[in-house]
Amino acid sequence: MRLSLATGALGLSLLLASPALSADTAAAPAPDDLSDLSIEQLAQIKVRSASKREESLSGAPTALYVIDHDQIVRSGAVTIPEMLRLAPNLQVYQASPSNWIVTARGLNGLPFAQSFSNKLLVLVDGRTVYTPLFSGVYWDLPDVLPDDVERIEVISGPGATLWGANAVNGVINIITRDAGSAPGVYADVRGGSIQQAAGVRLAGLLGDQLSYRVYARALRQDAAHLAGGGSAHDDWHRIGGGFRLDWTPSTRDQVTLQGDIFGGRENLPGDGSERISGHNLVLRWNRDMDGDQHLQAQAFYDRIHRGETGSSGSFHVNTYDVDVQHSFRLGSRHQLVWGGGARVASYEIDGTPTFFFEPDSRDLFLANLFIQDTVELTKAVSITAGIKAEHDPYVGFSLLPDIRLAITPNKSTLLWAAVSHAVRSPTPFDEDVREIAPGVTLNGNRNFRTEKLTAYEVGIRAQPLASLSFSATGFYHDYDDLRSVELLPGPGLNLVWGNQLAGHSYGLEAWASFKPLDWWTLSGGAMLLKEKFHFKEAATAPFIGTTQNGVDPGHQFTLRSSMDLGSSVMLDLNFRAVGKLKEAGIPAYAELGGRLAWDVSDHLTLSLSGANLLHRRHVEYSGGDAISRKVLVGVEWRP
Amino acid sequence: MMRRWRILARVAAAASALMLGAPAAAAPTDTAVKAAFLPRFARYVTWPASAMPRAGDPFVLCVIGGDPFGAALDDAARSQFVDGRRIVIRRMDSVAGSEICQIAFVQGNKVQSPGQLMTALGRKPVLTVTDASIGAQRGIIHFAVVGGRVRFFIDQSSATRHGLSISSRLLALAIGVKQ
Repeated sequence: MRLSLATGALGLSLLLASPALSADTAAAPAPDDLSDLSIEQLAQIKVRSASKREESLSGAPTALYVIDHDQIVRSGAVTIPEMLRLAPNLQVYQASPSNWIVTARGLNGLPFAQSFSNKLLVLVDGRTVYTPLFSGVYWDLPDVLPDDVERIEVISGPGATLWGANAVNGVINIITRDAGSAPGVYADVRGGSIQQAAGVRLAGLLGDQLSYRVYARALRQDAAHLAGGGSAHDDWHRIGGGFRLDWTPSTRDQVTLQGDIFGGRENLPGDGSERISGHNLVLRWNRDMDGDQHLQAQAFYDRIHRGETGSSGSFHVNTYDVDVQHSFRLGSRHQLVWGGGARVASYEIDGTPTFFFEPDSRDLFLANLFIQDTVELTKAVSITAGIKAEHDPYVGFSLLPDIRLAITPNKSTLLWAAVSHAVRSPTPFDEDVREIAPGVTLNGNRNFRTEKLTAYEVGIRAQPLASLSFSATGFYHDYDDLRSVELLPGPGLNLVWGNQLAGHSYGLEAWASFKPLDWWTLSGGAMLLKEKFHFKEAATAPFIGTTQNGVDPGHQFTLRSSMDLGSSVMLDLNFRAVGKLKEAGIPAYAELGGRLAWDVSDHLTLSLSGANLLHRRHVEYSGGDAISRKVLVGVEWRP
Repeated sequence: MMRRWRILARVAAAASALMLGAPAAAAPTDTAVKAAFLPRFARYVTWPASAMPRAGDPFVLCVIGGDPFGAALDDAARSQFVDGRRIVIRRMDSVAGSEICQIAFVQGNKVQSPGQLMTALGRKPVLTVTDASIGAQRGIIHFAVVGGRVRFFIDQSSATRHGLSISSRLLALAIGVKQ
């Protein structure tokens, strides 16, 4: 069934392509033809953006995938998690209209065991958006206008040395465009079954050194269905806005000030509802200095609040963060980067009689210092070694070393290998939580240790032909002290967090992009994952099972087709097949999304987009809703 | 389910075939258009006499750092002439030897950031062009894709510091001019 649907999708592409496009390609100007145009005519030619991936090909020796602006726009993605579905090295699950789970290399959590995906570092323009209370991400809090995103860098595997806290299984770095990159007014309205979104942006130049952008966006989504049928009553909406100012006082300096503010409401199954709100401000300064030196300093403030109606609990977190990074060359062979940062996360939790924290408020102080050196051994071989010392309020110092070898036998090939160590530091949820249910309690553990990972990776990235590029990474993750549910001695079922799980996972991440024709790009991705965890000797509750940190699929395949049907019509299709979540009883599934867009004029784009088109509903995550098919009509307007 | 999907596919196919209407040209990439722009800039910029190549020598367009263009730039330069001179393309990893360049497209590579390269170029009479809309080191001209078209900003004060003068025709085409 899955296979036949895949060929069905491909068949559709071919069907669409054949009659109209044979004529088009004949009429298309080869790049040579541009030479006959005047400079004014050149400025009027409609262009396609080339993939940024090609440029970064010879870059970092790490499992990096870059989702670029065009991919995001062309996919029809409305929210950040939908954009992240474009990365073949991420696993993305939708559990409800507002609740998403995103992981790299597994460990997606298991709600019944109170385990939530918590090993990613996620940044939006340098601001961390994972919640320090449990190291996981509330994906309904950050939001961007899809058209504002410059690119999303996705690193699977540890990135702790450079990136820092919580970059255990991966890093997601969302980067928005420079404020003045799309001057003018822009409006984006999309609506259809189950989801509506409307955004507006105003951007331009203020004098010759300052560019600005302001935006606002409203988003709403209907309730999904319970896996067993019936409405889940979890519809939600949010409204937000923000600004970005880019100031270039000299040719060496760039100063960015940006901020967002938002609020929203989510209905909960049953009667209740939850309010979300937050705001943030980021100030960043980049300076190029003499002697190949670069300095970046950044400070941010971020506040989030979630609260259920009635007395069902709420919390807020205020985060204050400063970071400095300095890179320079030493001699002819060394490129050094060093820096440090400090963060205070100040939180207050208003618990309920059955779910609370002791203490219910704290100021968490985190600090780090790191250095990394890239040594060019020969023209084709370089080694990058780095170490970060990180201090967290619960266990003190952790050392996070990382060593990477990069070999570039020719201009279009990179072979790399890496060994790195990363940790997830304890959080209030690990140390201070108290949960009381009939007949059972779950308690935080003041002696909770860091969860540790040592990762071994080998990879290749190559572009053997102008039209073909690929990347493959093999990884072996050796975990220790993973969180487990333990049983306290004595009568009753009194549970406590422990660190009694260890084990390993290994697998393969591969993706390729092929451009058989000037107007057609095909890309595919594959992720294979095998996990083997065991209880350590002091384990007291093996009956909870070794999959309590996640029930992950053994494979995930993606296939994407991106076509320019003439100069004004674009057709994009995204297919994904995800293996079963065995212990969670979620069957394997295949789904298709896509977007058909027509640039009616320079000022107007009409689109028809959809997601999860193959089934009326399907379940993606343990305890999650049945996610419905989505079809949206969109209008983008640039007066 | 599958049957229904197939029917949907046909409807979609018919709809898009209608929308395509008259066959239009497939768009070139932004990189191809930037490559076409680069040699053309030469005609609209005046260099100090000391910075021009000797009589009979070709005009030199350099790509310093990363090269996003490949053969497209060589092709674009082939048909262009500046005061009867040919334009040749030189690619270099660093600014060493860049004194021969009249135009330099500068992009960072893994060794040096564009800022570092640009700083090293100092105030030499070189028309620096970049892709960097972000970062301080945008060069005298920096490209931007706006509304699906390749356009550019011009930093005229920087041009003056480098001893270059830019024609009004080019300034008129810029989406922004920094005085």
